[in-house]
Amino acid sequence: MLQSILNTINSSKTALSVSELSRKLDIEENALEGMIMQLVRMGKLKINDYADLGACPISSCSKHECSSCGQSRFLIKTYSVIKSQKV
Amino acid sequence: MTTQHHLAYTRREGFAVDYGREIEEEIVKLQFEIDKNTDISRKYPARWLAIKLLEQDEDVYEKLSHYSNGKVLLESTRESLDHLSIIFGDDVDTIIADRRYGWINGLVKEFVKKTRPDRINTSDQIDKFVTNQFLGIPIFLALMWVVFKFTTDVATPYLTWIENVINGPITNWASGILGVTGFSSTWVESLLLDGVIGGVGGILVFVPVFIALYMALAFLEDSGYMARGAFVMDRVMHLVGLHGKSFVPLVVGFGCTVPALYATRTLENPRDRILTGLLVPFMSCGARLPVYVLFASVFFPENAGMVVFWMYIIGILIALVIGLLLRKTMFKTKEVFPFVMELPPYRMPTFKSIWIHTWERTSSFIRKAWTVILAASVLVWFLLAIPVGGKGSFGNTPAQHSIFGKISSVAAPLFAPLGFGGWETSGSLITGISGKEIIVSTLSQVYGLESTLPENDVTSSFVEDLKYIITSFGTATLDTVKTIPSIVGVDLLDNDEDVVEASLMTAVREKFNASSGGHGKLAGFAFMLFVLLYTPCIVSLGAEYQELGAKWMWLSIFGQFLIAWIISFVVFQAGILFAVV
Repeated sequence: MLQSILNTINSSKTALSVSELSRKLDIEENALEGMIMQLVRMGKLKINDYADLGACPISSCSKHECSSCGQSRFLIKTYSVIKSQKV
Repeated sequence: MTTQHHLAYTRREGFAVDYGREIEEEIVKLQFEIDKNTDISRKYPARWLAIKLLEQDEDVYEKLSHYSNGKVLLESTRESLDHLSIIFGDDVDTIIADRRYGWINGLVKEFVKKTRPDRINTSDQIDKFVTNQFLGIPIFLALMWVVFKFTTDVATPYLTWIENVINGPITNWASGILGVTGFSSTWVESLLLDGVIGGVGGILVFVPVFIALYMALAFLEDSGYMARGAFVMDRVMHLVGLHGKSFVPLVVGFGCTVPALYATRTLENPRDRILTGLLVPFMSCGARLPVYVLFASVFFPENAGMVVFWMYIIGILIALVIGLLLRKTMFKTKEVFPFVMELPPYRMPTFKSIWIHTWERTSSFIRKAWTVILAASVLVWFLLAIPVGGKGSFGNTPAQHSIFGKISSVAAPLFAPLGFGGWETSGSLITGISGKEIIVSTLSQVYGLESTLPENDVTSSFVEDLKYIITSFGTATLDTVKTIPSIVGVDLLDNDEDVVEASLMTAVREKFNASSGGHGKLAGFAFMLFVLLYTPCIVSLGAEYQELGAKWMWLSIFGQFLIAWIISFVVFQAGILFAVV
């Protein structure tokens, strides 16, 4: 199950949405989200949630972190495969 | 494997995950070992502990090491793990997780009943069109066009209102205070009126533009569409050989280049990171918007929204072309880093949420106006106040004969072939390196000093000024309401009315017409392209230095300047040649 998730992500040439992945693998979306988190815990997938981008150098910015910056609201949570990892 | 173990597995009953014959047999084997140790089996359920041992749970290993016979159990676990590794050729803990989630999936499919299936189905139905590989891009472009049409149409009446308030009542009040305190007709008056109010006020005029834009974007974000827009953009990235994940920093670049450069950290490959970092500044950040709105309103008043929209699209297209060229030359790679995106379900945004997000961004712009832009405006004022060549005195010299005027005049010939060779324009492009919106505040200051417009009516009373502010706000609101139907082509505005043009707009039109030999519209468009493409602001350069290194920062400084110059030159000269406008 987890291996098939990684295989599907690896074989995709473009970004996949969780819904698309759910349809392709015929897995319930909620269950798939749990599986993705398990893959993250196991070090097979990485979350790119931009929480560790560091302090913003814009002096007028009161947030001091890009992740909480109003200008960065386009940031979308993504998961990417950590290379040379196999389930 | 003993017969006893096998029987135990086949007789297993109750609610339990089936991990498959091989793993279950090893679980049972370990359960027998655990049951032999009563002090352990009393404390932990045998099956749970056996699974944890096979998953190599560090916490459990540590706890067992404190028991007298724990080591024997750990040795048995090692044997089981070796045996399973030979069978599966992989980590046993991942096999266990795989089986567990397979079982969960089956369970969910069989028993889970969705409580809100309609909403999920609606999201899926909308996504069929919105993320469709053929319809996705046209839908995205159409929505972006509506955003910019809404932004320019809705904001214009308020923009004029704020400018009239700043140039009227606020300037009157400041003059009054200066008169009372004895600073009237001194350099302090010039600093306050031309430096602070002219510079900061010149940029605060654009607050309604930001409010309108951020409201429209907040609506799209909160509705769940913006994530789809980014998802669709990913496919465009792949078409030109860019890394799919590059789209996230590039889309962030529409807000501000600095966090966008930081967002490149999420790209694993350093070459992808550098390539994306070099393309980010081509995205039109929010700071360029006042320049676009000002010049589009001056030279393309009928199609201002469309022109602003095209500036954003041109930025994307140029980034894609440059990305493609760099990918084929300096950044060759065939490595692919696939990924998954979370797309939120569609929902109807609330006004409160839209307003919070709008204000969060707008207040950031206002803070910048009172810090960075104020500092830059005061500095520009000082440079404008210091005479060179003995013409005039401090604070009372013709702008062209000030330090600022002289430095700008040296750079001006460089821009003459692009149609905007006036010293004021070249000066604004120099100060624009400290922040792109400062181009507008500098133009406002310089043209303000040169302005020959009649003096403000300083005789109006405080109450009359307040009355003017309130009534003109009402008129602006009424005009805004009338402009909303124009987004769908219904024009309710009385076009026969005399439109009172802002003084800055008049000055820009006259100066650009003069510097381009009567091709002001073409020169204005070339100037917008130049501002879109030329050297990033100083904070972005700092981020480039930090994230990409000095070499790439210098490439960005000179490379972007060269690209901006060439494209603006081609547009202006070709426009004249083919008599476009």
